[in-house]
Parts: sequence; C-alpha cells; structure tokens
Amino acid sequence: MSYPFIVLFKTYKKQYVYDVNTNTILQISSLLWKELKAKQEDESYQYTLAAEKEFHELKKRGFFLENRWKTVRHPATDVLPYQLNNALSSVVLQVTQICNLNCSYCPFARGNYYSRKHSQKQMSFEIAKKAIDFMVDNAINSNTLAVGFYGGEPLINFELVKSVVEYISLHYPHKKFSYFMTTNATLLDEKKIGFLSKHEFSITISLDGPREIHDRNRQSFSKESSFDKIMKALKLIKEKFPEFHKNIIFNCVIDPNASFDCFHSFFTSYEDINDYMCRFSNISTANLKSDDVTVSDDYLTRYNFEIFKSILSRIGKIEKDAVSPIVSSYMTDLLEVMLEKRHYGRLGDVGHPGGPCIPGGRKIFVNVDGDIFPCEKINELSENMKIGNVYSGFSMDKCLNLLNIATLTEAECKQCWASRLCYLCCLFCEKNGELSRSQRLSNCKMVRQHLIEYFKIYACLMEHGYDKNADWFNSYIAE
Amino acid sequence: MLNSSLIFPYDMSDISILLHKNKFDCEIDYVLSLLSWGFCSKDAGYIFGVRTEKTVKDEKNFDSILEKVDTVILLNGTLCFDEVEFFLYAIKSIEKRKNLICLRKIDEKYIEILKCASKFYGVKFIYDWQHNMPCEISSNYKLISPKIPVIGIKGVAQNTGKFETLLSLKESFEKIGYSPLCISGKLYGEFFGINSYPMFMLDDKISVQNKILKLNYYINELCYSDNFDLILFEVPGGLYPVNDKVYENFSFQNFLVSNAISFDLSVINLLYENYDLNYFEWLKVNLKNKYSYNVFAYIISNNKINWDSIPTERKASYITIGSEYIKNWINTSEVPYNMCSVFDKEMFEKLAEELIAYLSDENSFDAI
Repeated sequence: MSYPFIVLFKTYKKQYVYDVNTNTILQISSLLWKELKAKQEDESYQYTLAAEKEFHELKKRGFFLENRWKTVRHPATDVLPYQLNNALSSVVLQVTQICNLNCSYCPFARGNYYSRKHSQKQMSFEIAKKAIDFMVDNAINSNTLAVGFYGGEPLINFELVKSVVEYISLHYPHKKFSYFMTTNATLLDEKKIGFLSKHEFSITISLDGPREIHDRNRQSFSKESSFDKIMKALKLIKEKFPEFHKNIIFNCVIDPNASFDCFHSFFTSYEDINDYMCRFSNISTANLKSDDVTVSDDYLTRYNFEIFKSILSRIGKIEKDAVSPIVSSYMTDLLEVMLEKRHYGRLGDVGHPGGPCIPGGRKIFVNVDGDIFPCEKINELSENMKIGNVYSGFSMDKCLNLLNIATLTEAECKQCWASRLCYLCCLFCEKNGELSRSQRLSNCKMVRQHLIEYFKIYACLMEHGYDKNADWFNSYIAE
Repeated sequence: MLNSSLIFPYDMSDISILLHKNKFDCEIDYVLSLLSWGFCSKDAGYIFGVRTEKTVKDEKNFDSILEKVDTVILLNGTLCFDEVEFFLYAIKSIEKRKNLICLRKIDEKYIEILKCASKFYGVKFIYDWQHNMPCEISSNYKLISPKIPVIGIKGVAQNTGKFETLLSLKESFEKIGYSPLCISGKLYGEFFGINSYPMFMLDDKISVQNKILKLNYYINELCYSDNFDLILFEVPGGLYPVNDKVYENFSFQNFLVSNAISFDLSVINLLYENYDLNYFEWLKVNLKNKYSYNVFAYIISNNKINWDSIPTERKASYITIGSEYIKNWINTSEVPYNMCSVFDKEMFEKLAEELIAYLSDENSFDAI
C-alpha cells in the first residue's frame, strides 16, 4: 500500500488526519495514527491487520487517495479577461506619496523597506479622473463601485479627494459609489470632516494604542504628539458630526515590544475610543530590510492566553466579553479557513494553491503615476507587480502571471498537503522587485505550521462540543 | 405594429428585444442608456460578444432622438435608476406627444398622472400588462394534462437567460413548421406573442392549492384556444439557492408549476462554470427527484457568479462572459448531454429538431 495524501496531527485527546483529496479532517484510531506515522518515517513498515482494515475501510469511503494535481493552474485563468473587463468594483487611489508623519514601521518611511519610499509626488486630477473612467468602463457587471483614498497621507492632497468625489457625482450619477479612506487623522479639521461625513466616507484611522506607544511609533517631523491630534479630531466628530462616528474604525498596528495589557486596557477602557470598532494587525514583515521584529515574552504569553480564553468562550465556558478584542480576529480567521474556505470536493487534475486574490477581483490600486497594482500592500517598485496603467489598460500577461503565482513552485505545491488552504499570494513571493521561487518557498514552513495550529484548535473546539450553527444562531439573535 | 421607437434606459438584461426585433411588435430604431452604466458608444450586444447592429447612445441624446420617434419604450433594467427620474422621462415623452410603453412597475400616483397626461395629449400609454384570462374555478375542477407536449424552460438560478432561450426555441420551432404556445414571466413577453405567467401565481392571498389548480386551468384554456403543437413554458425564478447565504427567489414557483402540470421534457439554463460530468449527472437526478423534471438539454448562459463579490455584497453579482468562449467551452466539453450556448441560433435550431424527434418517437408509442 502506498502512502495516502494526508497529514497527521493530534490533540491532547485524539488523533486526526487531514485528507487532502477530500479536504476533510478525520478522527482515526490511535493504532492507525501510530502506524501511519511509522510508515511515514519508514517506507518498509508493514501495517498490522487491524490498522490495515481501518485503512481500507476509509479508502472504501473515498478517503486516503494518493492523487495529486497533474497541473498547477488557477481556475479563474480562462475567465480573467472577462472579470477585468466587466466586473471591476473597487479602486484605491494613491493620492499622494507625501506624509506628515515618519512612522517607525511604515513601508514608505525611514527606508526600512525595499518596496517604497515617501516622495513629494502627488496624483494629478487628470490621472485620478482617468482611473475613475477606467474603472467605470470595466465595471458593467458591478452595481456598486467603491473608491478608496490612500497615501502617503491622503488628507495632504484633500483638494484632489474633493475633486474626485465631485467628478463622480457629476459624471456618473446613475451608478452607486461608496468611498473609503485610510488616514492618520492628524490633519482632520471641521471642514474636512464635514465633507467626509456628507459623502458617507468609511474612515480607517491608524491608532496604535495609548499616547506613549502611538507617539513612539507614529512620530511627526515636528515632534508634536500625533495621538493628541487624533483625539482632538475625534472630539470634533463627537460634538459636530455624531452620526459620522459609526463610519470610523481604528487600525492598530501592534508593537510587539510593548505590554499586551497596555493595549488591552487602552482599547477597552479609554473613554474617547472604546465605542469605536478596532482592527488589530501585526507589523508587516514583507519586504522589510532587516528581520529584527522581535516579540516580547510578556506579549506572547498574554496573547496566547487570550487565544486560549477565546477557545473557552467559543465552547461556552466563559463570556465573550472576557476575551481581549486584540485576539478576536484570530478566531474569526481560523473559523473562516476551517468552515468557509475548506470546501469539500475532490482534488481534480488541475488546480492552484489558495492564496492569490484574483487581480482586480476585489480591487485595483492606482499609484500617483497611474500605474495599476493588485493592491496597496505590494511593492510598487517592482515591474512584475505593475499589472497595467490607467491609460494603456491591463497587461493581461502580468495579471495571469500573478494569478498563477504557484507555477513558480509547481513541483513543491503539487506534493504539499497545505496547498488547498495555502495563503501565499504574490506579496510573499517578491524580493527586490523579482518574483522568486526561493522567496515563496521560504514562507512554506510558516504556512504549514499555521495550518497545523488551526487544525489542532479546530479539532479541540469540536471535541468540546463547539457548534458552528449555534454560534451563528446566537450571534444572529443578539443582533 | 407600432411605428418607430426608442428604448431607454438600456442595459444588457433587455438584449432579447434587440436580438429578436423582427418578432417584436414595435420597430426599434434607437437604443439609449445611461453613461454611468458603461454600455454607451458600443454595440448593444458588445458585452455578450454578439451583434445587434444598434449602437447605444447616452441619455444626453434623449431629447434630440425623441423628436425622431413615435413611441418611447421605458425599460425596467436591473441597474439603479431613480423612480422620480424615470417618471420625468416618461412625462417628457408624453408632453412631446409620443406613445409611451412603460415596462417598469412604478408607483400608482405616477401612473395616474401619466394616464391623465396621455389622454390630454392624445397618445397611447401602455402600462397594464396582465391580460390573463379570468380563471375562476369551481370546487370540482380536476387537474388535467394538456393535450400537447409540454417543454419546460427552467433556470438553476436567476439571470440564466431563460427568456432568450424561450424566444430562440420558439423561433426554431416556427421555422420547421410547428406552432408553439409560449408562456413566460417576462413583462414584455406579450410583444412577442407570448402569454404572461399569470399574476395570481404571485398573489399571497391565494392558497397554494388554488394556485396549482388555477394554473392548470389557465394552461388548458390557452391550449384549447388555438391549434398549438406544443407548449414552451418558461418558469420564473431559480431552482436552487446560489449558496447558503444568497437565495434569489428560488424553488417556490418551480414547486407550484411542477405540481400544476407534467412536463414531458425540460431544458435547464445554467450560469457558466467549468462544470464536470458529475455536476450534470447530479443535476439530472436531483431535478427528477425534486420536481419530476426530465432533463433533455442544458443551456449555458453568459453569466458567471462573481464569487469574490458575494461576501461583501451579500447578493449574487455576475461576470459576463463572451459568447465565443461559451461556445468553445461547449464544443470542447466531454459532457455527453445536449448543450447550447444561450445566444447561438444554430445550436437552438438543432436542439428544436432533436426535441421534435424525441417527442415524435415517444408519441408513437402512446397508449390511447
């Protein structure tokens, strides 16, 4: 018997396999688990009769197949031109590369990253207009379009933001548009807030915690406290535009050298911000020149403890409110991977690892020069990431290349048990402007570790009676 | 037949009016759309990869084109267009002494104003679409099978091109000398000589049992009203939900219709996906078990679900695929079932012949 396409893992209580061909997690006997492990380590190992019986029983039910993809090819490859020509739905405009802050981990600032630097470039109205026309021309299938404003700091070029919104209102009155902006909020004043509120912008404000942490990482050139400016803007919103407050969320980039409790108490009890939504993210390590992002022991211990509490809350042992919001996205992501993205269905002959967004599928990012990129996170200096220009249109070859990014590592992906749940997009494959096979492979260990962690937590949840429908139903009732 | 007309605001959901304009009871000279929608300055069939020979003009041309036509056909469309603005275009048309055909349901207060205005200016205003025969039935009515074969046209979901399929099959049958009785839920079906799906089927006040009996009566009454050879019945709504979060008016009308009438054969319209044989086989068995439908052919539409947009939009949106691509997919597919691309006339002509051959063969063994 040859070895099936599976990976073994176990929890404190039980033994499992993840069966790649069916995308299923199966609980198996400890005997079979041990023998599969032995077989994995020594090909000549002979199964006992009892293990062989269980093995064949599973095989009879369609599990434990050895099939692999014969070809790595993304399923959206053939229809990509139609998606790009007919179904664009969102454009993010880099209205300026200038920023009034000099944040320690910003991809643009301080030269910490290979990918980009702040410059004095601003987007012209001509380019912004062309970007909007380009999106509308390629959005026949989309009823609602979204326009995002990104920087640098987009409020520095606020006149352009206004012009774009006015242009859209005037030229495209019969298409629904929504607007969003990512800002450090330090330049918000009553006039700007009034405009953003009138046009129902969704605003993401970067806020990294209490004053000492925020100001340490988000320094202004003038050394003034950027934290105080944000608080001033929030006060203004509360007083003059109370309805607008629901359109604001915070994005907190966690400084792993800081104390976990410090973040937690700030975001749960600081009076001016505790009724806003907040999203927490870690410092991006993609394209970072040095790998000195270290996490303090205190932070890691508390973070893991909060994840443990979040497991307890999911199985009804503690209240949801007792879990820090800092880890809330962890469990949401885990359940999304395990329940939504883990589609059941046979592995076909042709497929592609998970990971790449369809270029243009969710959004396009247009930089100050009018060049198009798949999103705002990628390296604008890389020619490989430039998938077109608002004047010349999409470069279909480059779009297809990014969509089929796993062809870089085709041989490895075909044999990898994690392929179907992989999340490595082109962002993880690029170094110094080049799409690199070795760069992609350098992330594989992390993906596999991450998935095994997810498998174990998910299995643990199920062992303790987690009911996804009850979870959904209770939140539905609560709403 | 009405004289020259313009249609407005055009979006791709109304392409059938242009592709079958020789059967449409009104000469269409101009096609106008809204600049925001992205159809202007191109052939009206551009997005599907088909030619209609009508270039879409934008709304700024409305006034000048209005001078050149006798009739304005205001379309429902699927994209956003404010009701007040719609009404302003309607009243402007009447004030310019143009006949008005309104294919969108609008507020009664606007209808009243338009009725009065049309009377005042002496033009036709066509709005009331339900010309179904009255069908009050007594308690001893029994379900009876129509005397002629019934072919159903059903879609797995919305936007699968059922109406286009109905028109293409109707034309193909007529071409080989058959006279089909056609029923459709499309509001403007009557312009093509197609009977409306009766309004009582959507009336919440009528019981399920009564709907089923009335529909059976309605079909038989139509059937006996003339010498038809077969019935083509396009069933409104979809057969299945899109997924566990997006439903799009699925199943109920098919449940009612499949209880009111037995279909000899069904053609099933699908959204495009790169399906494998397993899916077609599952569909065939499931449709037989769920609705007693006998699948004869699959029609592949040019719409594909935009799966990326579902989590944010919470409703189905689509990516439109070119006809050449669909045709090529069908031709290279190894699926052993009858398949047609929704815009391919030749494929439908062949399908009509195969349907007739099958039904003739089947009928030759009928017990009497």
